[in-house]
Amino acid sequence: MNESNEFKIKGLAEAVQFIADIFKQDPKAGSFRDEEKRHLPESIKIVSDVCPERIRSALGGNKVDTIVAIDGGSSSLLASGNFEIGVCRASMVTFHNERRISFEVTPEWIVPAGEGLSSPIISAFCNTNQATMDCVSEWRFMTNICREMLEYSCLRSLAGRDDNPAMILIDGALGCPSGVDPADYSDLLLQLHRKNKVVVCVSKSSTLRWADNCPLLSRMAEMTMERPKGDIWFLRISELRDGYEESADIPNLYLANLYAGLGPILRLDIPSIYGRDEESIICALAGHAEDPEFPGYPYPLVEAHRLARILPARKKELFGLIKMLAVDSGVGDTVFDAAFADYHDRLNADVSSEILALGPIAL
Amino acid sequence: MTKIRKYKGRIIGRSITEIYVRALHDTNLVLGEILIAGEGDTRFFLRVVDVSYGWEAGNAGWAIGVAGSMIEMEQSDRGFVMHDRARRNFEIGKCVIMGYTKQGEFRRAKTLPELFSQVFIPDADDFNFIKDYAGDLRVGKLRSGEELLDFEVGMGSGYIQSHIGIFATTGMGKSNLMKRLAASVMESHNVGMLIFDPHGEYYEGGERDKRGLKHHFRAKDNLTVFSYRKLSEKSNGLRINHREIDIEDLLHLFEFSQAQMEAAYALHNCFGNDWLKILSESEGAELAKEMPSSKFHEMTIAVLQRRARQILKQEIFHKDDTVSVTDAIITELKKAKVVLIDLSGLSGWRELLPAAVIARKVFDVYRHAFRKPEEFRSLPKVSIVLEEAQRVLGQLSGIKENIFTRICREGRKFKVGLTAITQQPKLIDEEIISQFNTLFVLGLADERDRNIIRSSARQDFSELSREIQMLQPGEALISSPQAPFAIPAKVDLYEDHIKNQKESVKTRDEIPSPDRNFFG
Ligand SMILES: Nc1ncnc2c1ncn2[C@@H]1O[C@H](COP(=O)(O)OP(=O)(O)OP(=O)(O)O)[C@@H](O)[C@H]1O
Ligand SMILES: [Mg+2]
Repeated sequence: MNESNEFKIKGLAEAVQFIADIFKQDPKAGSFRDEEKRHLPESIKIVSDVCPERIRSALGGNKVDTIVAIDGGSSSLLASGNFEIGVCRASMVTFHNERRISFEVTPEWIVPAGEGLSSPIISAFCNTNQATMDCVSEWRFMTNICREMLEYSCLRSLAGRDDNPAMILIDGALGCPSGVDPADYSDLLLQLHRKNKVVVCVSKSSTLRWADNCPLLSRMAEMTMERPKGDIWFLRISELRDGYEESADIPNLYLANLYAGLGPILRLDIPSIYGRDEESIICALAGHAEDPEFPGYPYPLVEAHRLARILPARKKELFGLIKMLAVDSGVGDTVFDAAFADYHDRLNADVSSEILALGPIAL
Repeated sequence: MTKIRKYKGRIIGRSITEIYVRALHDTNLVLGEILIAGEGDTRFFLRVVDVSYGWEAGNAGWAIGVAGSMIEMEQSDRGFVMHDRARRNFEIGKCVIMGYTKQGEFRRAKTLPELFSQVFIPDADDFNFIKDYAGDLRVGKLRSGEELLDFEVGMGSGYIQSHIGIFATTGMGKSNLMKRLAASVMESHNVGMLIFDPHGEYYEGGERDKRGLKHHFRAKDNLTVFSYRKLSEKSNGLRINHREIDIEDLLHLFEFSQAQMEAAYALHNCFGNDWLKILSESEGAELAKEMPSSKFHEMTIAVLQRRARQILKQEIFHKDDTVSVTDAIITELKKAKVVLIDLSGLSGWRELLPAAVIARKVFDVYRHAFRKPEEFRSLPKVSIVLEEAQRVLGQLSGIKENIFTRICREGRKFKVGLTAITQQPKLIDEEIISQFNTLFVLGLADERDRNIIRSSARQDFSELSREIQMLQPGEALISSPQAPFAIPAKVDLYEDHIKNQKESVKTRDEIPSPDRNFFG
């Protein structure tokens, strides 16, 4: 049975061989691929010296009582060749002594974008968020850009707050969202710094590649296999380029595991101005990554993610709403369906759990 | 006046037959607990019939994964810190809608409370409507889960002729409830109650710290005791005349072959009520001569004779025609008293035969009185209380019925009811159980016992099985014809009741005398 199944699948052996070759490379022989560096701020360069000896344990630091997590969610609702309508929102959650004390979710923004489409909505969006952008040339990324902007507006609201969260977590990498004036952005980070709020950006994945296509994270996993369970380790992988100074808007990049043996390897971006406190910051962050729901991942980000994400059922609702209003305004039903109907549901009806669900409690 | 109610959670689904409630963080739901929902003058009453774990993360495997991480994290020095545990892990109560009140009137629910409605802990005021169903024979307090509300509940004395079932696994409080019920009968003094006590626990309480019916403050006036053994204080001896033993009384206590049964009837035809005495005293051959028309095998007669001698050897059965207490018993019952027949020391048929004879006598007297409306109207209703009732109400092999099953089927019309106490309702004929209009269900461990109640009770017990299984001693569900649902109660401990009554009597001047017109 098994054998014949394997024969029916083409290309399996080759794929496995391909992966094996990537992972067989000698860590010491590697270096970062050039094209990866393009996605990084020009102010930093990746250190090529990734070796076990440079990995450090974070051993001590002050406990941080209050922590805020920011995340965004976005999704495409309908798309048709040269235009797309998406939806996005952002959320912000505050924990104090491991208890959630507040949370906010922005309204959902419906984002119409298209080739040659200059949308009044986007202009309104830019106005609300003190941003400018070229919605015509960047239309393919418009929903994501708007999401980043909503996250940015959350961050900005914190600068005005004096209730002093000691640490602000953002899902993703540190960087100025397109549409936002870089001067405004670095100004914001400086303000936060002055109020003693540390911004730490946390990514669950990293596209950084080592040598010939080998994912850096897996290389790290291999190097840290022997570390004791529960260890907090980190490795700085960036340096400031000549001519740049430590600053609130230029990050240092780290790879870190906040709960070795169980947690994922994360990429952390910490403003370089905090460079000397890196160990205690990472240690404090790890203090919020001890929840058994997701060991090694800062729990406040889990909740921020849950609040911001756009679930499939919601997507469907919004799709339905758009269609209803479109039909009301004179677009024919058939015309609309011909362009946008998603027939996947129908094709997958036999396996769709949403159709099988009987009610709010499917325990 | 606006009350501040204690908030317990919100309704999260699902249908008119099962309502789910998410409990407030850090709040426990209790099986059997009553919750209320609804705004304005409409109040829905919900009863918690199951409690389960809940968490917000949608997938069912969440807890398994988290527990796995906890176990792994414990193995490192750091351990784990669960954020906001109370909010993330909570309880979900499955409830049934008992009904709703609108402007104080209770109705069955045909609509749903709103989704996300807040639910609250009720207070005694919310149960004002139950006053109409609480009955005049009080046995305890209204109970919500484990909490007691300041509200007395019981059954209506007007329903005792429609039979009462008291069901509980051993040690769950049947005898205590019976004493408490008898106390109410003594206090209200408007119905009669005939209690057969095979264990000798009702008169003095049996054990050292316990109290019996004689300790009740109304015992002097409203309790009469007949006892086979000598009791420490004034009680009447229990003597029954042999002539009062009917063939029917024997049929279900002994196994008779067809031939033996025919012979017994023939003897009765021939000698009338003296048949037992003559049978026990005569020679077999003589008897055959006396009954020339019928031909019976000598062996058949010999078996009957041995039985007759066995019976009449009992001290309790007297051959002296002038001695009998059954009339006295009936006289006392007619005075709406509690009559206690202490049969302790007797067992098996020796205990059941006197009970059957007395019960039949009572039944016959009432049945005959029925034909004289004037007299019948003045008779108080009576209940005949039988412990271990499954012995006489079970699936009867071959025999159609006995006096107790007969009372169950016909007694209501004649104001004679049965109170059947048993540990094993499953052994009672289902059709007989369905005759019991009032049920006191205490803790029942055996599922088959719970099932039989479910299939025969008036109120819907189907969702209450789990609660019945978990009841503590003295905790009960009272199902009665007038109440719209099985009322959860905590039966008073008889000893406490005695103490409280004594205290309250001291502060009362006079006990009102019984109102004769009450008997209807
Ligand atoms: N209402 C009550 N409140 C508090 N405790 C009670 C209550 N009823 C019963 N108990 C406790 O349970 C014990 C057993 O009660 P009881 O003798 O009435 O049970 P039972 O069901 O008659 O048992 P059995 O099957 O042995 O006759 C009592 O001694 C008392 O301690
Ligand atoms: Mg008992």
